[in-house]
Amino acid sequence: MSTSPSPCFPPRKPSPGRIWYILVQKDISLMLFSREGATGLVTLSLMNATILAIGTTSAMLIREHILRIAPALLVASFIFSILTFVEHGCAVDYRERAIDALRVMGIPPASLFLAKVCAISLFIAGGAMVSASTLSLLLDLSLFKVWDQLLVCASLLSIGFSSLLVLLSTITISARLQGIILPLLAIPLSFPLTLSGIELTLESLVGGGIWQSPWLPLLIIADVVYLVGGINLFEFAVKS
Amino acid sequence: MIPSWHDTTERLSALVASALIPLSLWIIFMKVPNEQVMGAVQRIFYFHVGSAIAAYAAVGISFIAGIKFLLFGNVSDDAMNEAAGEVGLLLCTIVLGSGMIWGHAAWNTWFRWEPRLVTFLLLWLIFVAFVLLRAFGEREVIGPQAAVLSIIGSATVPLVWISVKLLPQAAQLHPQVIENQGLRHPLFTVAFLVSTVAIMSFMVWLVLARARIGILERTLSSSRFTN
Repeated sequence: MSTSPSPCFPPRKPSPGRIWYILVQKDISLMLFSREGATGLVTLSLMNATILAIGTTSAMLIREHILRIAPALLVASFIFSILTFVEHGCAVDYRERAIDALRVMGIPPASLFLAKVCAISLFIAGGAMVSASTLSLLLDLSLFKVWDQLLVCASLLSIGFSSLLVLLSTITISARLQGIILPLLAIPLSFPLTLSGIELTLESLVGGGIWQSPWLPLLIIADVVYLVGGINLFEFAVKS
Repeated sequence: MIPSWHDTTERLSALVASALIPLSLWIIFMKVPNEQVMGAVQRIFYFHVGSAIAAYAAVGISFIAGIKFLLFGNVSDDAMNEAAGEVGLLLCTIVLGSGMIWGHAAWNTWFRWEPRLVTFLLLWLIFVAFVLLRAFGEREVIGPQAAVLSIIGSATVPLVWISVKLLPQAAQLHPQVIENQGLRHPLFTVAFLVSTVAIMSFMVWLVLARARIGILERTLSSSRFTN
């Protein structure tokens, strides 16, 4: 009895869009379901915002002064909350050798970088919203009167920070003293993002809005520099 | 292994630095008159500004060497990238140190949260992190990773510079001597030019000498690995 050979079709190559979608899904579920990921981000955002609010309230400042320092508090809370989160998001891939496996499968490093940046941006924008809500509540700031401007700021900051931090975390992940080198690199390199984030939030709270501010183009340029830099350089950062 | 232009440029820069450093010291301390407002402490300006320009040049060298290393993979470019980072850190430290001495005389404080001071502090931190990464990174992959870092770090410097320029003028205490054409006496200009060229050539000499050591180290370790 002879069996007829089963028709053999070559596996269909998924489109780049489909690959990117699957990668983003992978990164989101990695951070959402790992215990340290999303939980850590929300907890740190809440904790940092609360500590900063307590410190500010105990200084007995008048309302105008609180409004002027609130943007710096918000951005500080944001940065301290996301550092550990991004580091964790990249460390899981490194530990499980996921990047190596995906590269062996022929996935371009630029797609890996973009997917990670997209997933991390979503989470850290959420973290920024948690920090903003907490500070708004505890310091009676009414931040959400200018929610549209804050949303633009938070989105641009999230893209810039996630592009930069994904690249830096990948560079420092295998280094000894990683816990020192990553913040040491991230703080000076993110200075344009930090400063423009503070100034734009200040413009939206006590100034004439962010749309005419010269800090908005600077923030967009910084985002483009880190995103384009990351897309082109990620390949070398993960070389093994 | 060591490119031919490396030897020539190293010798030339050593020659220029050896001639110009004593000459600039002689002009600064023996010829240039005291500045009317600041007095003798103004002479720090010639070391401070020259070192700042040389530090920016080190950033540029590190950037170009980083790109060349990623494109062509030459060991000499990796060594040059490492050397520029280390010499850049030294120059930034000189800028910050000399600025603090001047600041203590002018503002009665060692450091102020003034935009230009903060810019250099950030640049210094970037160089410190670069040197630390080189020291503690994984040896097999540190070359490309340090090159990536130097490219991103160099791209950040103009952004930091623009950020500082956007801050309100009231926050800016640092004197802008060259922009405001503040070098009134002709000898001030001569001293400034000679000291800047001297420090620049000294920087090039140091970078090339350190890069030579780096190339020899890499050659030695690769030959050990082969044998």
